Amino acid sequence: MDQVIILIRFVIAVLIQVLVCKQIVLFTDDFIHGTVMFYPIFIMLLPLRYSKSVILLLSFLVGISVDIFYDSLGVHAGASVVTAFVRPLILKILEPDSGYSIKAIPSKHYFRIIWFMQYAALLLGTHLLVYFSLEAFSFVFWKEIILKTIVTFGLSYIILVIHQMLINSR
Amino acid sequence: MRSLLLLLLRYGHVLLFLTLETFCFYLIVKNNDYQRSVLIHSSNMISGNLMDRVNSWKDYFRLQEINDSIAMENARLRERLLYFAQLDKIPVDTLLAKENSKLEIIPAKVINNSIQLINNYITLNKGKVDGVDKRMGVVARDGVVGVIEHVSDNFSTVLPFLNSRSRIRGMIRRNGAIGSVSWDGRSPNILIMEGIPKYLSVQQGDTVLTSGYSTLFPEGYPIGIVTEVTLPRGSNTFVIKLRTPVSMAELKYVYIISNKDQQEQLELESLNQ
Repeated sequence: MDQVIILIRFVIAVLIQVLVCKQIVLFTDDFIHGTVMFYPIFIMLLPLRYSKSVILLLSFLVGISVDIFYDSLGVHAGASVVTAFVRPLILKILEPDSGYSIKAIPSKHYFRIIWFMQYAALLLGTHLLVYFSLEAFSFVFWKEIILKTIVTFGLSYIILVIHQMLINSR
Repeated sequence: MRSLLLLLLRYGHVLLFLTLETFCFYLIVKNNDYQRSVLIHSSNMISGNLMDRVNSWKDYFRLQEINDSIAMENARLRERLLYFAQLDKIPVDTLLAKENSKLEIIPAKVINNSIQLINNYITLNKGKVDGVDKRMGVVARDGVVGVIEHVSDNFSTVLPFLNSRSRIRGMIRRNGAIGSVSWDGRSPNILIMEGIPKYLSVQQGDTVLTSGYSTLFPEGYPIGIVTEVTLPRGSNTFVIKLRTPVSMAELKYVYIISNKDQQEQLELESLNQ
């Protein structure tokens, strides 16, 4: 049952990313400012009891699936794998006094919305920073990378938090 | 042995992380190196068909706009027809002229498009079956779009000018100077033209057209209009900013240009090297 939910979440996350979010681009004449990243929610909502390796593999799969539609093989996947690697560290930082329940997933249902907002901000920030660095593939463009990260972060974060408020992920 | 197993159990995920990340880097580098695997590509059947379907739904919301643009183009073509009808007679034998026309135009629809990346690609709904081949030029109503890069049976992908690998040869209409037009990955409306020597005069508002030297595009197709001319210190050539007439974000219908003489010209030119 659990696996089915994960699978459905996987498909929905990829579809929303490539069919809806890919169409959203904010730009001006001088510079492309950003887009919306929705699929990191899949990495965020993986159950706590999964081993680190399983989470790495699932994140790689979601990244490479998005890559196929973006024609950017490896970029989303690379960012997703880093995000999955950082996830346990962020969970450690945010660990409540009572510790984690083995059955929980990092969502509003098991934790407070404030907790989720901190968690999502850290993971999304990591993901976007790595993504835009990999996309540019050179730190010469550090100004562009930071600018794109900030703008994309703002928009994506609002959408992720609203999504989490509306939909109760168990 | 036991301690090795324990070590693997403890740090196995770090190893896995490094392996996956290396693999991703390999994919990215390989990608940038032109060696794109055609298999995992949007010209492959599954994602191509999906995008085609989604686009057919999306089109309903834009019918009005598309109708308008087609009507406008119709009007423009009709105008040209009238112009030719006004000419008393055509100076060459029409039968001969028909045989000589070496350009064939294949209309195609954009089914996948992006503008926000550094290396953008476009997918079209025409492929080998329709006569599309690699290295064919692609234009829209208002100007140049790019060059066909990969072809499958029913789909093809375009390397548009919004790609860091794109190089198009452009000519300034006023003085015939030839330069190379590329994209710096910033705004989807602005292209960069380089290679015009500083002794030539280039002004704001000059039109840049295709040169007709390459076999990809017919001569005189618009690429952009000069918005800014700068001369970097110590450089002998201008760096020119162009505004493109084509709005890539709203690109819907394009024309693929098939040049029957392309093969012959390329073979002849390859003898020079």
